[in-house]
Amino acid sequence: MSTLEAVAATRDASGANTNLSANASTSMSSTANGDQAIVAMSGVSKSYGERRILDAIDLRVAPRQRIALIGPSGSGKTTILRLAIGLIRPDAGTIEIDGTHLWHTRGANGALVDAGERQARRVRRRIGIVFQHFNLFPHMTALANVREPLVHVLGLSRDESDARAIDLLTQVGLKDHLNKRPAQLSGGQQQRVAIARSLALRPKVMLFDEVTSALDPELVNEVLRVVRELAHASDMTMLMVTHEIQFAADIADRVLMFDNGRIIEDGPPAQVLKDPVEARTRSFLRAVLER
Amino acid sequence: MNAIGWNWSFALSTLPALLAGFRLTVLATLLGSALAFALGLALTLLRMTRHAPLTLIVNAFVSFVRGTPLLVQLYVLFYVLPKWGVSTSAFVTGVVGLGVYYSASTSEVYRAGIEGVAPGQWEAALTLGLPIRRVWSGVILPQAMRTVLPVLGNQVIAMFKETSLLSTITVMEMLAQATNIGSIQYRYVEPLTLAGALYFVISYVSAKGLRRLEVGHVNA
Repeated sequence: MSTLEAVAATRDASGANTNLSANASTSMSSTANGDQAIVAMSGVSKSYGERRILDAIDLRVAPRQRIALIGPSGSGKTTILRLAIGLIRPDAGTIEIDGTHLWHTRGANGALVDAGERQARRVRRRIGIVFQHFNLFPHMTALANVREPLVHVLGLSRDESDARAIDLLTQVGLKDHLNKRPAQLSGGQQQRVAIARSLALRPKVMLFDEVTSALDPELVNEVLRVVRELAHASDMTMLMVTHEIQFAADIADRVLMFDNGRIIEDGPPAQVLKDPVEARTRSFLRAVLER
Repeated sequence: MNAIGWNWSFALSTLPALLAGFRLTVLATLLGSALAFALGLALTLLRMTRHAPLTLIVNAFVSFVRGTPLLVQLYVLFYVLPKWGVSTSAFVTGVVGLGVYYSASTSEVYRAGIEGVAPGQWEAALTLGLPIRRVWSGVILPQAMRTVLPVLGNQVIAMFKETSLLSTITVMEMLAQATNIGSIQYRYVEPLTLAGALYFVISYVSAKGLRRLEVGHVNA
């Protein structure tokens, strides 16, 4: 792990520049308790052709938890996020977000029946995602990217949307770049626009899918700083797929280690990252930290 | 006056007829293009319904239209359809022929444009919860347009030249005017040269203009 990373961590710990609104979060216990899970997966499996990506995953996430998902590539971390936001449908199992099923409804007799895309669309509003490759709309300015969901999902007026979008972009430090297109911004700036865009709908759950993997090394910290500020200043539930182990140790209160489509270790960072039980976790951490 | 050399006063005298033909050429190009764009869009949308029999029919139609010469299609429309009771003016027949012929490739261009939009754009739009109409109108189509428009522009230029085929079904467009003058006056050099020069100037300038637009777009 880089020293730059540690520097950014201390800078954030001093509390400077933390102007992201909402309440400071209190630390949460690392195990979600029963009924109040905001993300609940049960027996979720997903295969692509012959390849089984996820194998009967059970996962319950308590509100306000900050979960880091680590593990080798191809172990199913990203697939979990894509399932959680309903971009893909599981082959088996059920997924509930904030108490509502993504792909099922209760039939007359109380049994679960398949529901269509419309159900998923409704549930998706409560959950946001930031992608590895930003996926900004290239033909729109930074402002228009953030305005898009405000106008077309929330149905706000143009003026109100602009005000909110400017506010969000200011929070991620891009006040001076409102009218630039993605191609005119650095990777780090683009990713911050993408974060602002995802925050626009005030989701209860935010998913971060390797948000720094596509960035040049010198741009990683500006993005991690924004995610850190968000973690400190809001009470959103966060699931983060990351290879930044120090970052995970700093802001996660629970770490999931994936291997071969299963969660092989689940606990607080102090345990999973510093004193892992599984040999597989130890060898993975050694490989990542020696990068 | 010899029949091989160039006579300026004769050349000038052919201009009014040639320009009348040129007007028809441009009109056929514009109407044919409009029809091709609209019909092409319809074909693309029909294909995207993922309704198997419909897709099969549309694909067969596209393959057939692209796999036979435009001249043959024009002859069929002009000589055969009237025997089944469908008859319109030669000009309308020509425009329909051009429009149908180019709609097949236009539909391919649209499809390539839509498929060329990165999958991440769909994912971003869907996860933001944008309504499907907005996903198309605000996200997918504007991006597809950037790749589609230059290709469509080139297609219009190609069609502009191909309108000369309409002379074979008695449409008095520019080439028909030129050969008509030739057959009356027994002088082909001037009218054919002038017609050729007009085709060239218009398509060359249009292609240049299109290239400039394209570069401007990329820089924007």
